Amino acid sequence: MTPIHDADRPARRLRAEQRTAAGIRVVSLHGEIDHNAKDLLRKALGPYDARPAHIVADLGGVTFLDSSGISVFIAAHQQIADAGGWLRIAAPQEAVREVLRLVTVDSVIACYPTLEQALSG
Amino acid sequence: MPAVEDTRADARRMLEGLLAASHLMPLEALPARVAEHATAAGLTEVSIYIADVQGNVLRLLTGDKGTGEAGPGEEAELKVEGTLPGRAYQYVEVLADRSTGEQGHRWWVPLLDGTERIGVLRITAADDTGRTRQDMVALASLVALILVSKRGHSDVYARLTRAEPMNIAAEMQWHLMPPRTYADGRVVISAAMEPAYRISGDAFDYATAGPVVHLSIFDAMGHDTAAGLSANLAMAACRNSRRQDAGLVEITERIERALIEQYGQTRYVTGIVADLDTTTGTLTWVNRGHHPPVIIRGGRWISELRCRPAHPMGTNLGLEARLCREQLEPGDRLLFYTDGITEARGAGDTEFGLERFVDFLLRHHADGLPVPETLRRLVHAVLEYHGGRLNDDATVLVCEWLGPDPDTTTEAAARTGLPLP
Repeated sequence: MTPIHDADRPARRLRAEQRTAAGIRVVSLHGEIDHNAKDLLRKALGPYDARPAHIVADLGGVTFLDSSGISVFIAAHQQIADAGGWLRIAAPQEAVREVLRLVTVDSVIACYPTLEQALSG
Repeated sequence: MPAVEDTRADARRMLEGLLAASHLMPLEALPARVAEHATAAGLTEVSIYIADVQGNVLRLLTGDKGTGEAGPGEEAELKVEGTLPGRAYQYVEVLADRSTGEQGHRWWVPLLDGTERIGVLRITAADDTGRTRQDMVALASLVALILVSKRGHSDVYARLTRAEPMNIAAEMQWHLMPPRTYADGRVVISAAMEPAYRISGDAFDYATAGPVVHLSIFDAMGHDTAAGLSANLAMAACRNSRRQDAGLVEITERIERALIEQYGQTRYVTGIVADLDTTTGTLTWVNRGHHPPVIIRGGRWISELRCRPAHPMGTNLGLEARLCREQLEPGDRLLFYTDGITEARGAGDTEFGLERFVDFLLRHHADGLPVPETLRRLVHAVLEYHGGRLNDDATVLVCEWLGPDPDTTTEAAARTGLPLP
């Protein structure tokens, strides 16, 4: 089914902010990660093909995550890991953490309760 | 007053005549052939109504195009809610229609494929004896069998069951999946899926093989035609492996391989594949990144069947798939479901939720409502809760284990509302 269009709910549209802290790229995400947001998410996490990338995806502001988003995280994780880097997930809200646990992604991509813990590994 | 033997012979002529005619006719000819042969048993004005996929309306099968003009005294479409024929459909009851005055006795008789409700017959009879009732039920059984034997190659039937256009994924899924209700003395299985016309990646399956009843549910990522294709591939791979006697763990591994072969690792499917040994009540299952099954015992006790899941099929994340095991008790009901039932985002962002979902089932079970009718109402409630618009497929598959004997069918009949002989 066609998801409710982003334009209907601008407050929930996914936003991504990038910064670098001690050689680790932090991608802070806000809003909902669904089918409409997957291209934006893919771009925000990339490019990760050049050299070993160390990326923390801060999900503190993410209120919804569906299978489309999960798929992007898995693909990113696999490519980053293949290149010798790592992807970590930080501060997922309870509903999002539950989805990550359900599809077993938390067994494969390291998930941390806070951004600080994700940065220090 | 004819002798009993004569009326029996009349009924037999009706059924034999219709059976003989059924070999060489298109589905659209059924109303005319039924009318022709039913008169032998004193049954007249027989009309065939077919339910749409959501169970909202009953639609008249007529003439060459199947959906032509209604005859005198016929209505082309009847609502399931709030009408007598709708009640016959909902509760699987033979009901007398008193609204027609002196012109004989009019009846509404449910049409059943096994225990799956497919519509109702409207029949006028000269009297309302027990014998007439038996004749009407026998006619309805035969009409249902003929409909089912011909609907696979009838676009007329497919059009009749659709109140609005279907998307391609829904077209695939409805043809792939087994009937939404099945029962024998050992199990009662029922399923429901919404949005019926806009399915993307959900699918359910079940099958019997000797004492084993297989159950599975799949949820493919995404909300597009590709999600429908992934679900189809998963289900076909599951059936294919099962029929080659692969174990449950291996079935899920073969599904994963089939998905990766087709899609690289860009598409995945979560799901549960399970076997219920009906002689012992032992349930074995493999969970691939899916909601754990829920079990209802004694109409109140609820628990989730926790067992460490492996990664979703198609992601190749390397987690070990393991076989889980649980001992059921007779009367236990097992629920498999997908995200849309519990997690769809409502207007106020409150989920329908697992608790509300299970409460709904418990309440209607206590009311003695047939299981398929409970599920029809459940998915309507989920749809309504979300303002008629679901963001995700919502599927539920319920299996009640009754006991080891396929031939002890009283319980199964009661659960599905089947009129007892």
